[in-house]
Amino acid sequence: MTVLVAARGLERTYEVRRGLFKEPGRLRAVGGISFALAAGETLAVVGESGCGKSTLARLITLVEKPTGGTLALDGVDAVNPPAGARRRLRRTVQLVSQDPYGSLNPRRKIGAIVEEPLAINTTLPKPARAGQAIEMLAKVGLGREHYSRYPHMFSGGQRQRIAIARALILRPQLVVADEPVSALDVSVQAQVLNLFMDLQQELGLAYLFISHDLAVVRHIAHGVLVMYLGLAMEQGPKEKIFGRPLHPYTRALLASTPGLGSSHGVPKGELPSPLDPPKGCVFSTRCPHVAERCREERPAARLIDGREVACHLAEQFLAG
Amino acid sequence: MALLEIENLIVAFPSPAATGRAVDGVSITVAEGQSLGVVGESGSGKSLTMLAVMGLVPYPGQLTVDRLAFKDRDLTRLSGRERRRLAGKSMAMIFQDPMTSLNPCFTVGFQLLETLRVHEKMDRKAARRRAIALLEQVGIPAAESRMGAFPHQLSGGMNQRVMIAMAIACQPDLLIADEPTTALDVTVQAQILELLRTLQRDRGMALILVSHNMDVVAETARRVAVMYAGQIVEERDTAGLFGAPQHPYTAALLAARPRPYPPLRLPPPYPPLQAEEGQGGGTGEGREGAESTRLVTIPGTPPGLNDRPRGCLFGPRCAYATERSCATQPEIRPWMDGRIRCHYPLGDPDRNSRIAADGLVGAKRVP
Repeated sequence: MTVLVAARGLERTYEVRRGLFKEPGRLRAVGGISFALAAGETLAVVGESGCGKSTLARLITLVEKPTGGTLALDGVDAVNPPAGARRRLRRTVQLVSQDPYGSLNPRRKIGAIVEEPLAINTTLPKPARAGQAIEMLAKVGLGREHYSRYPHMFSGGQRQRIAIARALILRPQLVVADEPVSALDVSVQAQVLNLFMDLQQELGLAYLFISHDLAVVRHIAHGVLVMYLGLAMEQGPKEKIFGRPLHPYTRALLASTPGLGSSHGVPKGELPSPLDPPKGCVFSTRCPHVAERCREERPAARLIDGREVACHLAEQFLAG
Repeated sequence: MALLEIENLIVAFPSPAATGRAVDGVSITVAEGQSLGVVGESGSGKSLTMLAVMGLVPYPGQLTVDRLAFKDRDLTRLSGRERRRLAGKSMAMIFQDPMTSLNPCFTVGFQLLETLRVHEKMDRKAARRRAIALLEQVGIPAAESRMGAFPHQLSGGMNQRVMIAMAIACQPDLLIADEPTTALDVTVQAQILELLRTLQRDRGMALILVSHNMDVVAETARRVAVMYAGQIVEERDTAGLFGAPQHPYTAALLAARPRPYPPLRLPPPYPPLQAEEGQGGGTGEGREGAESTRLVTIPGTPPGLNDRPRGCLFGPRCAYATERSCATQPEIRPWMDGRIRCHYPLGDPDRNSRIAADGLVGAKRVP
């Protein structure tokens, strides 16, 4: 297994103006995330809105530069790429976004939308591009007749297929999917999830799959990364995380998911402001097991029982 | 006693070409203190049914109904004034998106007071005390200081709590919650659902929960109605419906979700048709054996408002459709502990012979 994405201590902070004479606030959207993703594998990033998962997606897709840490894609430094490598790097990673209604230009035909990456990145002549586009549309379950239609003629599920075709036309190795099925109805969601899994097998793709839906994550992922306020709370293989969650936040997420858990153990309150995170453990304001130490000292990630947990009390949860 | 009775509700939207029925013959009865879940995909008419109950069908929708009664009062005969007195007081509704249902120009306190002063004719001071008590009841910390906050200063979960506080301000007998948690995060969703359950239990309030999420409904409602293309296809007790769905659509919907429920065993001996090429669909067992991680899918998409199929509306997507399904639309009829709209319910012992007799067609290719 080759490591395709290697992120170490990835960080992104934004300066937020708070007023004319106030010091600008520092918002740490992603505060030191490390993970490795192998080719052909799926890493799911879960967390509530505001936890930094979409910012992480923007960093991995090279839309934004991290303010700290390192990121290597296929062994090449992606933060400060060597001369001439940037274009090639960008082709290795593509994005499928959440809203299939907003991500396709309503004034362009499907063919033009799917071909555009080829027009920008290759010197292929038009007929060759069209041929590849039709081939890719067939892969995602759309026919030749759809080539010259407009986005408004398609349903949500079909639009998401088109977005997937566009993402795959450059033959990337990594696809970052930001909530790709959360806008879809259940029956259509199943079709798109199946498509994701088929394409992974066929093309050996790696996915960074961002979702808040734990049932979906449990179905599709190999590894799971649980984020809260920009930090990794728990990460490891899916079996470990779902089989025996050790971080109280992971447990809270599982307990809150209808149908997956029981309804007790739901945390109180809501996400604190990322501009003013708690001093100790970031989850300490909502954690049912909070101890004195948690409020004072931020726990570092430790390897326990085959996964990394950032919690002072993780050993106790493992024991009891 | 039945609190809310709807019989044969039809909401039609006329257009030059045709008159599409967005809600097509829905009958619902809710008893006092009962909780009913309504599930369906987008466009199945579940929200529109609830809007019709509240008298909020958007223009140019046309409403026809055999009987629409709340506490034995015929809602269709009420004057606008009487209707408004009822809506918001005895029956209240929570909408999906709290950010757009609250008025951004007024503080949440003002909007909450408005309800109390209009319906309960309270004076300013009493209303304010009551409003603060309500905010505390729905779990808003520092309720008194939040009275002066504008909606944009509160989070989505807090705004939804304000909406709930408004809805329960006048102690309604019926609360309709239309996708109350769809815009919220899971941990907040769990909190809101718990709040709704508690309110329903403690106040003996009837609750209709509309959602596209089967699991949310399973956790909250005692009875469930499943809607498809403007019709109720199955209505039964929650445990029964989730344990042994009777309508092929319900069964397929349950099977299409990634776990937690075990994969559905479709009854033999009619192997569902293989995937139509190009659509990536297939209803199936054949695939499930080979590749246990695949989800069961329903081929095609729900029909649009103006291109409803002849016969059974689910027919073109149903693995068990027959000549008869294509020709005659099944009537909704009593079945087991509820009602069903299908010629061949999954629990019917002679369904196989009847399907064979009527000529299996299976899911036709859906464009």
